[in-house]
Amino acid sequence: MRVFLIFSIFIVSFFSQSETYEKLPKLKNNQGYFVVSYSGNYPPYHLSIVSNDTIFKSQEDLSDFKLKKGYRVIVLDEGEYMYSRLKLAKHAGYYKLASRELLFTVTAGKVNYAGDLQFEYHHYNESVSSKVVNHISKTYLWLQENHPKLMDKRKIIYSGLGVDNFMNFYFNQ
Amino acid sequence: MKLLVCFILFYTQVSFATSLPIIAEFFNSPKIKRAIINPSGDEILIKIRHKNNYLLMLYQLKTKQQNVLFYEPKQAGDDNEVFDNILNVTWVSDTEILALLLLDDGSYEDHLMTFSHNSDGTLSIKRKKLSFSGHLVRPSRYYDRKLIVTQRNRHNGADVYYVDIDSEKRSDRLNEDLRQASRWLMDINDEIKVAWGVVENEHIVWYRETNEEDWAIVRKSKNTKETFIPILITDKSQTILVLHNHNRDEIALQEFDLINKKFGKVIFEKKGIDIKSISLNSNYSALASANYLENGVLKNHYFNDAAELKNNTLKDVFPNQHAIVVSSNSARTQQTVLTLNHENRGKYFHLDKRNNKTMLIGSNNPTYDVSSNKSRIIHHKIPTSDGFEIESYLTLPNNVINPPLIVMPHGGPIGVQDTIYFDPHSQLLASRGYATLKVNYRGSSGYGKKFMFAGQKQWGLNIENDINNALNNIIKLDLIDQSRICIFGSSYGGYSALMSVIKYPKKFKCAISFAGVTDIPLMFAQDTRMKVDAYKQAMIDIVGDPIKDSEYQRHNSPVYRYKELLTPLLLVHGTDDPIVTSEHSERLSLLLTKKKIEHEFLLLNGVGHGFGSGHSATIFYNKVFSFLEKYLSKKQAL
Repeated sequence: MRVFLIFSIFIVSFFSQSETYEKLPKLKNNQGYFVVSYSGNYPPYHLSIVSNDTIFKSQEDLSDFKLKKGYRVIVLDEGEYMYSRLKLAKHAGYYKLASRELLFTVTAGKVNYAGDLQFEYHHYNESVSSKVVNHISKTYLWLQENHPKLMDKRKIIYSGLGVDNFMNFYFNQ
Repeated sequence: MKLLVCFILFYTQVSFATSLPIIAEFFNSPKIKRAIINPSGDEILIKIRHKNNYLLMLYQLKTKQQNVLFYEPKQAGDDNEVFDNILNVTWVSDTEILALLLLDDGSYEDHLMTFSHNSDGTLSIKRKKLSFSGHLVRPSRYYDRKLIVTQRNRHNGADVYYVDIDSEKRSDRLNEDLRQASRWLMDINDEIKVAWGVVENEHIVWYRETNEEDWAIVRKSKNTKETFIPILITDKSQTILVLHNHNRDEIALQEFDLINKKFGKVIFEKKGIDIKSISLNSNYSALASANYLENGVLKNHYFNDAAELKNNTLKDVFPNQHAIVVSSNSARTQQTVLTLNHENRGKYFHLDKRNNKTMLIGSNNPTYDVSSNKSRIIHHKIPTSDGFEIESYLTLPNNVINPPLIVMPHGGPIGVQDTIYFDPHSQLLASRGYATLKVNYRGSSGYGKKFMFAGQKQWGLNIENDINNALNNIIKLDLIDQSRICIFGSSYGGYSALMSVIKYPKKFKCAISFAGVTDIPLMFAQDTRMKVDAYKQAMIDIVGDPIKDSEYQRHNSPVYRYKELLTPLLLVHGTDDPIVTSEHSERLSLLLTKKKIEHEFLLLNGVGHGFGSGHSATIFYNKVFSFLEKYLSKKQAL
């Protein structure tokens, strides 16, 4: 059953460019929205997210980024994931992103945010450094502006490194 | 190029009287970063800012001839920052300069610049990239053409080499198989005997008596609250001098027996004061002075009469200034000297010691008329109920009776110390008629480790009580207008400003937080630095555990007490702040906006945890001055 479940993880991803505000797909019971927030010195060509399951990893490849920084809202099954690799040009290789520190969880029914993925390509040794920085307030304001209906219906939660219950406090004020 | 040189000369030496000082000049990178005299004592090498870079200029004392030796403009950063691509520079001989240059990609190279003066006043320059790279420690004591150079290695330590200038050949590693140490002590024969470094969060000191022996560990400590810095190998067998605070409160200079691993005679200590540094004599073989801050002023204790006499001469030549000898010629008759005080950001002089004549090389001070903007500093001390003493410095503007006061808590809060010396914020505010108060609250460095660590987990508690008590005492002096007090700080100081108006709302007419922490729990979830165990532990020591101390953390976070923030507020944050992320100010502003609590919020694009340039400081202070004008301009009834 587990094998079946793992293989049947159908990660519906709807690529919403920050400049085009299309309708988001409906969630299934076991799914949540995940806000991909990124910034770097180049637009990513491919950004991969993998599930953190030790045996059967599912992978979500995001592409067609046009800007050096922006947001996307995608749909993921609930569970634990991490940013795994990044490609900056069509014919370039993949850069492995810093493993466990880019770990996050997706809770079903919520708008999950795990921090901004910030990366920098270094020409001198052709490497990529990356970190994740929590900018949930700014992300919330972006969602309010670009996906107001989503924000009317669902709460944004922080699901990255450490515990941050600020948005819960904010909604209760 | 001649035009450029003329421009530089006047740019650095002439003061222009203006009605209001130019904000950027208080915060720009120093105009002069280094001025060193050659071995013969007839030429000075000056590292001077030009636009957004630094250049190297030669100045001949006899002819007053100036020539640019090196200038390679590099692109400035996002924030109009100055890019300094000259990391280090030193004279090798009268015609040779060794420079460590920073490249665009972050790596560095050693370059040897050989020059000669032509009869037409121009300079012939040959520049050679040396085949080794590393940081120059100093020339060898015994071989003119040999340099001692360190280079970082992949063991998180640094290797030490001799490098022959002419052949560019590097010796074998002087540290041999000890690769993890990052600092070294050499004896009078230039042989490494003591090394120290951090391995897996443990501070380790190694020792060997001769080069034939293996390195032995003589000290290991995981205590991050302790200082232990080897200073000098003494004449006594197997004994070194160390600056330390092991089993004592203040940092003192004491003997340490490397075999018995025991401390010996205390060489110099000062009750209630940490020794900041030790200066050695010119060939690094004996003590010259112990240096410390007393009442906010740099003081020196000299270990011999000759050194003291030299210092007294400097005091006579540069009255009311703290004068530091930057370089000397071989004969010790010619020097370059840097002077500092509360109004002087740094002036470089040439001093001819034969007749004590001085010549100003250049000044780092803002170009406004200091005489009409003169400020004075009042030093104050008050006891606390729990046995500490809190030091504060009140800067008063010239010709303003009962000026409005800006309380300025410093950042940190642990391990930072305010002094009386030039602070661009205090001096700029003084030039606009504002007094400022800086307080070395508990947690500040310089007063012993008990005082410093008493600041841990005192966010919003005793630290702010100390600041408030210092303020109450200043109010009693009746030198400032107590109806016009604002509080402004950066980083922890920004946090302190917010917490102070929560705790003492009637005292302050306004508060300004730049890069301030607003949410203590967020510090454990703001970015991936928390994955580093040592960083997380250091944070837990300072603000408590995010789970066990969650109540303390929330109760002392401005965000969770936003309803009490009814004093006019200005929040300012840099978008690129890597230390306290802009999320701190953004979430407080989000809450205040939702609850319609009046405040002003300025996000500075491309700015980090401080001002990288006068440009961003100007944007900030234009906002600050209009904010202060709004809330402090009129005397109000108490």
